[in-house]
Order: sequence, then C-alpha cells, then structure tokens
Amino acid sequence: MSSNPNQPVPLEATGARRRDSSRMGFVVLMLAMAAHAMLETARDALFLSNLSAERLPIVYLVMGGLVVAASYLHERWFARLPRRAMLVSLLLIGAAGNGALWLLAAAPRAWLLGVLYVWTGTLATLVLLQFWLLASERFDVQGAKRNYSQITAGGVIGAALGAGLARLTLTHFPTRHLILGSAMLFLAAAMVVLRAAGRRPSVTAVSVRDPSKRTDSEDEQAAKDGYAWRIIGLAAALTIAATFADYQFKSQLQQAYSGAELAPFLASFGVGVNLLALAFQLLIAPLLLRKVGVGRSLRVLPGALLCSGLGSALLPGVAGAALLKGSDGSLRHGLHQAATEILFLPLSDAERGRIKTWVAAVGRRAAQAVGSVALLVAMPLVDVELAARVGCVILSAVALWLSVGLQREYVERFRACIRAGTLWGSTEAPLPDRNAIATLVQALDSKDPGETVAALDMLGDLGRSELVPPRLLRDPRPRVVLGAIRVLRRDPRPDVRERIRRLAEHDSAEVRAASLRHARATRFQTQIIKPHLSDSHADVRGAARVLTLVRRAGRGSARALRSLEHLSRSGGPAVRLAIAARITEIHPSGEIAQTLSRDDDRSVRVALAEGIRQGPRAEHLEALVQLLADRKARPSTRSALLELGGEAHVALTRAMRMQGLDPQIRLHLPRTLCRFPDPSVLDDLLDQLVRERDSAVSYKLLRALCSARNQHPEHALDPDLLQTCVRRELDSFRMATRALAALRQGVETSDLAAQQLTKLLAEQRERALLRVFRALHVWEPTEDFETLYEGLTHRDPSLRAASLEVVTNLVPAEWGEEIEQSMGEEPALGEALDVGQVLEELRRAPGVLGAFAREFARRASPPQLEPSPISEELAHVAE
Amino acid sequence: MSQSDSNPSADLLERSLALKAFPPLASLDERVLASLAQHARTRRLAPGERLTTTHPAPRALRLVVSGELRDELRGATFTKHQLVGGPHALALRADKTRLRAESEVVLLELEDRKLDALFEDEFSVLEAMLRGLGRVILQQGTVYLDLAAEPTVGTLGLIERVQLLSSCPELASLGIDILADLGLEGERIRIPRGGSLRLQGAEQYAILLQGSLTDAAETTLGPTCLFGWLEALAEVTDPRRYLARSPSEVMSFEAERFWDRLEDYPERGLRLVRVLARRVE
Repeated sequence: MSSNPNQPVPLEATGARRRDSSRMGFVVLMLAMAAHAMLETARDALFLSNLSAERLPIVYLVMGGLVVAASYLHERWFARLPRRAMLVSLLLIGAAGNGALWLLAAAPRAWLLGVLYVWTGTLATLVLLQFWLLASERFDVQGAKRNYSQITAGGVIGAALGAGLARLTLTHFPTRHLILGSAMLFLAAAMVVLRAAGRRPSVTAVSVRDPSKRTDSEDEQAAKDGYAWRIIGLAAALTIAATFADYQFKSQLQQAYSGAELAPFLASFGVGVNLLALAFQLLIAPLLLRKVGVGRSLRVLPGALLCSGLGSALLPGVAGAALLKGSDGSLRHGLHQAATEILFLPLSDAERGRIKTWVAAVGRRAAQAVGSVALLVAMPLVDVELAARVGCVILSAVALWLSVGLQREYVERFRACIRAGTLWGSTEAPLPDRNAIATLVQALDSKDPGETVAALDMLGDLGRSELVPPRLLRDPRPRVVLGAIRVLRRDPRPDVRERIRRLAEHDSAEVRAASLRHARATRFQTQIIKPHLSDSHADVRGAARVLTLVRRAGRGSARALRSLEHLSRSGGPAVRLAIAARITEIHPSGEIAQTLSRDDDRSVRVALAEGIRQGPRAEHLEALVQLLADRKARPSTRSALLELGGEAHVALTRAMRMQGLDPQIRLHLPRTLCRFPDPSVLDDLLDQLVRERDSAVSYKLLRALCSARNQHPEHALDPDLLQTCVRRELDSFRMATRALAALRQGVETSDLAAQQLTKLLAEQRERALLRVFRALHVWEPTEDFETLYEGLTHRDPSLRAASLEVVTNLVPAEWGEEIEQSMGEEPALGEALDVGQVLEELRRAPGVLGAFAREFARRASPPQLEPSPISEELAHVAE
Repeated sequence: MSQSDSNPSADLLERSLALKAFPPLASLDERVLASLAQHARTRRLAPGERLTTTHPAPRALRLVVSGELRDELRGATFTKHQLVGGPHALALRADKTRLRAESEVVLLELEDRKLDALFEDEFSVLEAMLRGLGRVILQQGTVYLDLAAEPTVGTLGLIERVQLLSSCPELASLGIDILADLGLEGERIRIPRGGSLRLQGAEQYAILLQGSLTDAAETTLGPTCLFGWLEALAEVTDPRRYLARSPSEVMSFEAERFWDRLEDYPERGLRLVRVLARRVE
C-alpha cells in the first residue's frame, strides 16, 4: 500500500467555504419553499373551491408533460449554463409569473385555475432541480452528509413558514393575495443568490470533477449498471404513491369541509406537517444519515408510507388520509430529499445533471401524470379511493424494495469514482511465456556485455543453465566470464567443470580467484593448486589455500576442518571470503557459518549468504537468522531459508517470539516469514502482531501480514485477533489525531521547534492511518482497502470524501464512525487533549519523537506541568 | 494498443531482460529483477499508434523494450532500453504525454504505486534506482549540494540539525523522523587549518558547518555544503580526502544508517527518487 504522493490540501479553507455554501443554501431553500408553500395553498384553495377534485388527474397530466418538455429543453440547451445563473433566472421568472397570475386571479376562471395548478408544480420542480444541482457542485459526499440535513431543514422551515404566512394572510386578505406573497418570496430568494455571488465571486465548487476525467463510457455506466434506473424507479414509485395519497386526502377534505373552511384547514395542516418535518429533520435526520448511511435512510419514507397506507385502511375518513399525507409531507422534503440528493454525488457532473433532470421529469412529474391517468381510468370502473389506497401500499412496497438494492450500488459507484481518480485499472502482470527462452539465448551473443550477463543471470535463475554454451567461459570479456562462472558453477557437464577449473590460469586475477572459489574442489589436483598458493594476488592465494583445506576436510581430515574453523575466525579477508563461498562443501559447517555470519567484513557475510544459498542445510539455520541483520546479505539469506522450507519456518517463528533477540534481526523476520508459501504463516504473524511491544517490529509484522494476505486471501484468520489488530491501529490513529490537534492549538506555530514537532507528529499520524488501512486489508482482503487509502489521502477533496464514504459503508459502524471523526475537517474525537499532557507524554517517548519533545521543552521552557498519564494508546503512538 | 496478455511473446523474461539492461537497475540480481518484471506490464504499439495521457496522468515509468517511440510534445525520441522521458522520468510527474510509435514498439510500464509495493518487498530495487540516479548526477558534474540553511556555529541541537538537513530538498523528502534519526547520529569533527579529512568510500558523507575545504580537484567547499552524499548514494568506493584551508568544522554521517532508515520506510525512498530525478532534468 503506497503513501500517496498527493498530499491533501489544507481543509480549513474548504470547510469555511462549505459553511458559507450551507448557510446560503439554507436561506435560499427556505425562501423558495416558503414561496412554494404559499403558492400551493392558494392553488389548492382556489382550485378545490371552484372545481371538482376529479379534474386533478388532468392537471397532473398536463404538468407532467410540461416538465418532461422543460427537461428536454434543459438538457438540450441549458445544461451547460452556470447553475447559479440558471437558478437566479428561474427564481425571477417565478416571481414575475406569480405577479402576473395574481393580477389575473382577480377574476378567477376555470382555465386560470388550471394554469395556476400546472405553473405551481412545474416551477417548484425546476427551481428545486437547479438548486440541488448547484448544491451538488458545492459539496462532496462528506460535506453533503453533514450539510444537506441543515439545508433541507431550511426547506422544511420554509414550507412551515410559508404555510404560517398563508394562514396569517388569509385572516386579513383574500386567497389570491397568497400568490403575491409567493412572488415576493421568490424575488427575495433570487436576491439572496445574487448577493452571495456578488460577495464571493471567487467561490468555486469544491467538488466539481473535471469532466475530462470521465469518459463517455463511464458516463453511461450508471445507466448500464441500473443505478440510474433504480433511482428513477424509486422516485417514480414514491411519486405515484404520493399522488394516490394526495388524491385520497383531497377527496376526503372536499367531502368533509366546505369551500370557506378549506383554506384555513389546509394552512393549519401544512403548519402541523411542516413542524413535524422540521423536528424530524433537525433531531433525527442528521443522525440517520451519518449513523445508518444513505442507503438505509432512503428506506424510511417508503417504510412510513407502507405503514401509514396500511393504517389508513383501519382509520377511514379524513384522519386516515391525513395520516398518509402527513407521513409523506413530513419525510419527503427533509430526510428523503437529502438522502436522494446524496445518491447523485458519485456521478460525474454531466451524468448527474442528466439523471437528475430525468428523475425530476420522469420519476416525479411523468410519474405523477401516470398516477393521474390511472386514477382517471379507474374512476368509472372501481371505487377510486380504495384503489388509490391499495395502489399506495403496493407502490410503497416496490419503493422499499428498490431502496434496499441501492445501498450496494451506491457504494460501488463511489468505488468506480475512486478507481477512476487514482488508478489505471487492475490489470495484473501476465503469466510468463516460456517461448521467449530463445530471446535470452540470442541475447547471450550480444555485443553489449551487460545484456549478455543479464541473459546469463536470467537463465540461471530459471534453472536453465544447460542452455548456456560453455564457450562463454572463454569470452574475452572478464565480466562475461565471471557471470558465466556464477551461473555454471553447479552445472553437471564435465566439459563445463573442466573449463571452470582451467580458468584458474586466466590472466585476470579476479577470474582466477573466482575459479578457485567456485570450481568443484574435486576437479583440482594438488599440483594444480600449489602454484596459486604463491600467486601475486591475495584473493587468489586465499582461495587456493581454502581449496586445499576443503579438499582435505572432504577426505575426512579433522585437522583440516579445525584449520578451517580457525581461519574462519582469524584468517585474512580473502581466506574468509573463500571459506564463505565454499561453505556447503564443508561438513559439518554450522559452526563455521555462525562465525562467518558475525564477521566484521560485509563482503564475507554476503559471500556466506550466497554460499549457503547453493545448498542450505539445517545446521546453517542459526547463521542464516543472524545474516538477516545484514541488508546486503538478506536477499540470498531469504532464498536459502525458503529453500530449507518447514524447518526454517519453525526456526523463524521461534526467533520472532524471542523478544531479547537482536532488534536488527527481529525487524526482518516478519518480511522473511511472509515469503513462505504455507498459509499458517498468516496465523503466526497475526498472533505475534497482537502481542508485539516493539512498534518498529509491529509495523513490519503488519506489512508482512498484508503481503501474506495477498497470497492467501481465503485463509480464515482468528476473528478475535483480527478485531484486536484493527482496534489497536484505530486507537493509535485516534490518539495521534487528538495529540496533533492539541499541539496545533496549544503551541506557538511560528516557533521552529514547534513547527518541527508538529510536522513530526503529522508524519506519525499519516503512518498511523496507513497502518489502519493495512490492518483493514488483513481483516478483509477482498475490499481493496489499498485503493481506498489512496483515495483517502488524495489531493482531490471529492475523492477523499468518496473514499471515506465507501470505507464507512464497508467496515462496522463503530470503526467507520471513528475513521470519519478522525478524518473530518474538524475532528470530533471527544474532549480535546491538554497540550501540556501531550507534551509531557511525548517527552517520555523513546526515539526521535521523545528527543524532539524534550528539545522543544528545553527551548520553550514551558511552565512546570503536572505530570499526568494519558492513555497507553498515546504512549504507543509516541513509540 | 495491446497488453502482453494478448500477445504471448512479450513475457516475463523479455521484461526482465529489458529492465536488466536499464543502467539504474543493472546491478539487481536476477530474482529481484524477475520480481520487478512481474510488477511491470507490457504495452505494444503498432507503427503510427499513439499513447496519450491527459493531465493529471497516472504516474508510471515506461521503458522501451524494442522499437522507436517519439514524444510529440517534447520532440524527443526513445529507443531500445531507454526510459521514456530520460532519467528525469523517474521524477514520476503526472504530466501530459503524447507518444507516437515510429515503428512497432514494446513498452514496459511500472506504475508508481507498484514501485512502492515493490520497494517494500525488494529493497534492493530502490537501492539500485537510487544508485543509478546518483551515478547519473555525478556524471553530469554535480558533486556537492549546497544546503539552503545559514552557516551554523555554536550549539547544534536536534532542532538545528534537522533544520540543517531539511534545507536540502533531497534530504527533506525523507521526512522529519528520518532526518532526526540521522541528525542524532551526526558526529562533529573539527579540522585545524591545513589538516585533512578522509571520507571512507561509499560509507560516509558530511556537511561542512564552518570554514572551507578543498578536494583533490582543488574545488573549494564553503559552509553548509553537503559532500560525499552523492558518492555514497552512487556507491563510489574510493576514499576521498579534503584539506582544510581554514579552521573548519564538519558533521559527518554514516551512509549505512541512511540506507537502514530508508529500508524501514521504503515509501520515502520513492519520494527521494522523485526529487533526485528532478536534479537530472
């Protein structure tokens, strides 16, 4: 898992802009909804006082057609215009249109009432569409979850305010004056938007995605995967259900109240429903959105409609219809609206605009028309009220079913966004093709020695040294000859063995020494070796001496073996190097290997590792564990350990549990262990991780676990240990975040020491977050937490928010909440830590953090602080 | 454009060979190279075919395995075993690119996040890349790096040491914790006028705190000069001697500790690769 090179931008500015946008959204929606509520009250009162409710389906039909036409025009000509300008234009058109209708309504006629009805619905649909498109440009998903509840609360307050104003107006003025009031409120809303634009011309959308980032095929994905259709379907089912509920409600009202009583009742009912909606929106909706998520919040309205639809069957008359209408009214424009708007956020700007328009046109107005037609058709055939009640229940159930499926698709859409923003795709490296051996063999004849050596090494690594022609041992380039010796030293062909031996007479001392070190001891006769014992080059002399001893030891000479043991301790570097290279030819050689593994000369240690790699035995295990401390010797050491298999696995696991072992060795045990193919390595690593006290080793354990997990994603790990592992990392991250917040607030940031200490703690926090995601990957390797981590630390705030949204949907609620709180713009992690406590604790920390904190304290000379222990977690972070 | 899974002749071996022939990776052993090759993916371009990325593009290294490729935006041509964009491509910038295949081209691509994962598994790859870059920088004639910090005398606490080290962009990329660790280990050495300082091959590097030194080529080093670091990075093993032209003070560091710390935090190594690559531009 990589650390993201794109460091996140500071969040404070973004937070301030979001707060401004949120406030503006609240006021504008409040005014617009108040205007709509007044207009709606006037419309309903005038319509129902003068015309029969049976004409309602016809106006619904006209309204649906108009909105569909407006949507088409919008997509065709207006979609690319600035949202703000579009919203202001619509609000002004609303104000002007209402003014005209107010004048005309002085002499109400049937056609005018129809126009008023259609105008009210169409205007509201278009204004709200533009408003939410503008809002979606200003908030990423986390901002939306935090702010949409407040903004929709503005809408609910506005609706209640509008209903209250309507009630008040009606006590002094005739009904038509409500239209004038509505016009004034639309005008006020337009002024607010314009004023906000004038005050902050530089405000730009914080989450606008560059459309070039998305391709046409990605834009079509929503349609293809059914996400858009599901949203439209949900909106349509709920709209038709609401149309049926509305019809029932108004029919009952017409039967129960006279014309003069209708307007006051409607206004009072509107106030009641909106107050209920407001209470729900302020007290419950934010909690629901943040705690149970968007998907589950969407189920509330269909669930409530289903229950109240069933309830209205038991409660006939106005009460039952009011229950149904009240459920819809109190939830639709608050919680449901906010949750639905969030559903559009994983889509690209263009895709969002298009789908939202069609949701408004098809899912709302066309669906309303369909519901109306259904009512019209049913009128002469059945009891319409009963049919509406039954239809409402069925459609609520359909909406509930659709909303259940949206949760997963919503998360998947965000995943797609994150992948598009951070990755190329997940194409894995293809499997090797054996046909290209010919390419390598061809490369052996290259004029470039580097290429020849590369081909040699590759063939050797593949165990195809038989394809290396022995003539390369006669190559004029010493580099190629040395490479050939390296690859062919274990080759069984007699002519190859003989040629390697003959290289002991080569002009290059390096080649002579290599021949004496690597050719099989049995190929040499004493008289061949003897002249080399007095060679001018020390490496050649040393190799010849060791060769003599190894041959004698091989024939059973205990004295030669003792000499080799002695020389491994006190021989010259060339001698020790030669012993190391021939270690597997010496029996027994465990003790010699142990001695050489602690040699001060690194080249000896490296040669020993390479030597053991040629034929590792169990007696070399101790030396191999020791060699892990050496960076240069480590690759060969690991190969040798892997070749030893099970015995090495057991030895390494045992070594890892020895807390007193050299930390430099312990540090490299986890990454060695994770290379073993046995899945039980995962259990060993996890078990050690939860009990490990050394934070550096613990970090390596976690990395090793991730790597092993990739190899064995299906292996079942102890769930309790996994939980403990994730929990521990989450605690560390939370404490690091709190400590950093305390430090940022409590120390003078212009001070150099404070700057460095803060920066260091920020680095620690960044690493703590990485550890959380590594632990989550171990917990659930199939969820691609690697990509999510990349997204979460990306420069693009909308990508960060999208990643956070996915994470919180994937992990248990408690973990999700904690990550969300620690990652937010203003971490809400409970009571803030006292900076004095933090500094005191940091001063006691080991390593550079402690050194920094002590230096800081010495320089700053802060007032004497009462030492007070924080929690163990902070100490852990500090380590 | 196709990827190697659709063309079997571009395989792991070819990829390994191409990587091995790339100077910064030439010193890798075959097993590591195979691992690196497995993290790479192959792209094939037909003659005249274009490979374009918009800004910000995913960060990746592209190595030409065969054929000839032209960078249409920058006017450069890359052939077999050359890194597209030259050594400074190691800076892994998310720049816009427009490449055109002049003949049939096989490319190896290594995404930066895969490099990051690879460095954790195979530190020697990172080591090899840094060494390769170090050599290129030395070949270009840069031997000493001037730190941006003011000359420091008197007490040199941890804070000042970190400030000193972090004033070099290359070192700053390592992060405060590594710098603090290196800073804590720094040893101050006073050299009288006319005295000499010997740095052990690739094992040591130093910062001149005050005074002035001259190297074997009679180049004068002034205060806050970082010397020996590029040699340590490039593993130039010859010992180097410096003469003090005036009473001088240096802070010397062990290169092995630098490598150890980098191995503990390989992700920082990628940052260092990026910063170093910018110096090659």
